[in-house]
Amino acid sequence: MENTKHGYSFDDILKAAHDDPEWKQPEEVKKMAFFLGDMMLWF
Amino acid sequence: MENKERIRQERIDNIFKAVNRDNPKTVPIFANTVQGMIAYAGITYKKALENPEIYPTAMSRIFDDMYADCYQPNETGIYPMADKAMNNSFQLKIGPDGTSVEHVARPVMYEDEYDALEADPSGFVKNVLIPRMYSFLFTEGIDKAKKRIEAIVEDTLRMYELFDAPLDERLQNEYGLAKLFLSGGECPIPAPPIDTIFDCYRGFKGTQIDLRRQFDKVNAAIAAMWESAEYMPIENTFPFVGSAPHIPAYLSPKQFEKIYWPYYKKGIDYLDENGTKFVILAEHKWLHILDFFRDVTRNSCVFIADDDDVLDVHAKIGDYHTVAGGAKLSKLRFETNEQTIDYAKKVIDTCAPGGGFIFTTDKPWNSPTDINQNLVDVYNFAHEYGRY
Repeated sequence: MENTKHGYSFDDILKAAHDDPEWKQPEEVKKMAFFLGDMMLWF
Repeated sequence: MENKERIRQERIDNIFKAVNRDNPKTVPIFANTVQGMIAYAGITYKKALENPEIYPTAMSRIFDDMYADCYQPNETGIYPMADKAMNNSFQLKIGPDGTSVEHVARPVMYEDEYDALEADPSGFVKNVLIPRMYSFLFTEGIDKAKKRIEAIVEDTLRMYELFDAPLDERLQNEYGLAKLFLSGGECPIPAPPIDTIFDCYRGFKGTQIDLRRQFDKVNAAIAAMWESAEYMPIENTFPFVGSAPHIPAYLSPKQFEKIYWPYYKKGIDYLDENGTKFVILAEHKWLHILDFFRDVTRNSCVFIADDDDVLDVHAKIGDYHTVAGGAKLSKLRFETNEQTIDYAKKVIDTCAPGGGFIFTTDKPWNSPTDINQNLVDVYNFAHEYGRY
């Protein structure tokens, strides 16, 4: 069901954020990106 | 500070005694604290969120004059920088009075998508619902999209560090208050899946229609969603665990039995096995489903009565679980001081003997108009009158 209509999926975005060398945050903070799922629909 | 910590510990001990009906010294007084209490400091929530240095002091000022033993966790619920990074598309906003928080839900799931939800619950959210709600993330290129995600993570962390944590610290260290239950983000048990469908996917109207027109499909999707439910380890028996579900009031007993109770009961049993309690903010009316809660361990739950009269909740389940109430925000706003105190006295006289009762308001203090002299006075009265 991967949605890559535009060439990338939501999981791809999360991974890109986590792996972003310009994002100067500790690993435990970067990992929080992977918990954004249902929460995105509540915000 | 040591003295306040001793007071806080004594209050926690007394709360356990109250919910276990084990000779509490006083009726525990629960402050139903959310952002409305900023009004006591004469400023708006919006203004306070611009200044982390004044936030904890302003948010707690009411306790200079009002007695309480415990409070509910304060998550700001507002993430200004994340919202900005997401083109101001978040549903959580501060209302026109500058303080009340509003959640204007935009349901994103269609009625004919339950099969897809059942087939892959997580994938459905990530690959269908999120692209539908935040389409710009998928059309602008991944480099821009990832920066927005980074902003969301950073702002949730920033709001916790600058606002939530310092307020907790002040309430506990300066006022000796105990946090009655964990915040939503700390909750160790999963919510029943229908809560997620109701709150985040289909909304109030859509879920209600689906439960009548395609119950079996909803039920199947719920079962699939539950397969990935996780229980977190419980390290401490206090703070308790809280729950403020929105849909139970709108389920018939038959619907509740099939799609809610099996999942809710598992969570209550898990908390009970780990020595902690479940605090339920029973939003709207729950009298028609309270009998289900006789199937879990006695004294494992605390019901905060909302639109039900706490006297009715006590009559229905007060012999088995703790009930909480005694002041109604709408009445505090319009009735005389004497009337509100008479009602509190009647509730304490009826519900408190033997323990199993906590004094509080029916609803959290969401708006500036929830904060008034009657509120302060009735809390102080309840503390003085509620001595065993």
